[in-house]
Amino acid sequence: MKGAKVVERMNERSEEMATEVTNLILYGIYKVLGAGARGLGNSIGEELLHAMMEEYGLNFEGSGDPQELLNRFTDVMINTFGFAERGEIDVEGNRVTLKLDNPMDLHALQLLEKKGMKPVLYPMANAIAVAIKKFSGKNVLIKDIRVHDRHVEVEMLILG
Amino acid sequence: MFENVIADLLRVDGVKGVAVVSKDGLLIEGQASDRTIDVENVAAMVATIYGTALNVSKEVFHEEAVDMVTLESPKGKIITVEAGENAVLTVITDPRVNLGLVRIYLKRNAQKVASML
Amino acid sequence: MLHGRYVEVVTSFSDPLDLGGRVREGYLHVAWRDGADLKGGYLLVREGEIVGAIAENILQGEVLKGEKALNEILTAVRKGLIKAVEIYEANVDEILEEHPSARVEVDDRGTSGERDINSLLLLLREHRGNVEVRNGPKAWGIYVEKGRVKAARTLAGSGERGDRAVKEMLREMGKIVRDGEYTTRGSLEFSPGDAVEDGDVLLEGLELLREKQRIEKGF
Repeated sequence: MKGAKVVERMNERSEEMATEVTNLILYGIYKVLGAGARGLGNSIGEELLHAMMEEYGLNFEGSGDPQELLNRFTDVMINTFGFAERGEIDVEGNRVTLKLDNPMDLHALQLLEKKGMKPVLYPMANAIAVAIKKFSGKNVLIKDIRVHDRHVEVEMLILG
Repeated sequence: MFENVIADLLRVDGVKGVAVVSKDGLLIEGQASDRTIDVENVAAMVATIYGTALNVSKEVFHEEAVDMVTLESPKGKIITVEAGENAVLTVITDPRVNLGLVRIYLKRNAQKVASML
Repeated sequence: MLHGRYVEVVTSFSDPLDLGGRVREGYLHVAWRDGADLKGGYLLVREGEIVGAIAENILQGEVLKGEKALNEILTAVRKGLIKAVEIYEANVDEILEEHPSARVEVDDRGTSGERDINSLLLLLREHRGNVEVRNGPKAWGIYVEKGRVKAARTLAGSGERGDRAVKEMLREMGKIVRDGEYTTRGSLEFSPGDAVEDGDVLLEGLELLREKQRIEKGF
């Protein structure tokens, strides 16, 4: 049998469907890799940071202090990308907690949790970790990702 | 910070590369005596292999715990152990390395890494 | 790799050499990056004193023992390249039997000219108490604590005290290292007028002298 058929889009692209497909991809990755999905975090963070810097012209050069980098990154994430409604950074020694109110990926993370999968990677936090490593030379570990009803908390540890 | 750990493992005959990797796939510190090995590139894969092994263990043994993950190829071995809650320690070796000795050194140094993180 | 019982790894310290006192007998294992090289070293310690040293370039496989190794490790310490120190308990005599050339001498007496500037540097860094330095008709008495001179006076010669005595000694340092003698024996007493304010200058001067010697020797 041999044949061909061409289908052309008649309606507007469905953003809702695109998001759903992305969520399902994420779900598939988590389902198979489980904790292994965490290992993808740094690579995703690298790509995200690259995109933010190269494609959107964001510049983190000249700020070698992890705290300053974190502040600048959060500012860009909220005000330039509108990733979340509000961001809050809490620093205690080398432990940093980033709290994001109503972030874009809240629904996807809640979906995972509903299916019994604890989120192990958070691209924005991974991008912050890569930025801090790149500009200050300090390693950042993402210790915990906590998903709540209206916000997400990411706990990070900055190594000396 | 982990130069001691890396030096200790690189002194073992047959060990060609050592990496301390966060479970997010970030290379915390690493070194290879063989210039063809890029530990930075290996880091994310090693973290994913270790994490996936944890998931397999969970699925099969109903317990998310793995002592050691060994990848054996005709050209060499990659051995990974957990180093605390957030990192793994991995070595890349020749195919005919003394596995018992490597395991002892890996375990000992994984404890050091865990205590330093 | 030396045998021994692992005690702990320390990442927070002001001077890694201070950690030698944490074991009665054993060694400190350190490693550091020097450009593209990864280097490591062992400092054998007994009762808080360094009695032996081994240093190696891990990637090249080159090994140094004794004074040269100690010098290599002390240079890394001074440059702040050492981030972690592992402490091991071990039988130091057994290690020195296996590696006799690793031994370093930290005598309380001797002629500087017979050894090199490193011995004097090591003595000043490690010793806490009096040191008497003689060079021909001139002599100085100093009180040191881990490399810092707290008090000084001339024992023979000009009669300088305090910082001026240290500076005079520094001016003569080249000759002292070559022909002089020093000892930690004997009793010395100091008075308030002998107090030294610029306590780091002697060690810094000696380190500069060592650098100068190295450059003159073409490393």
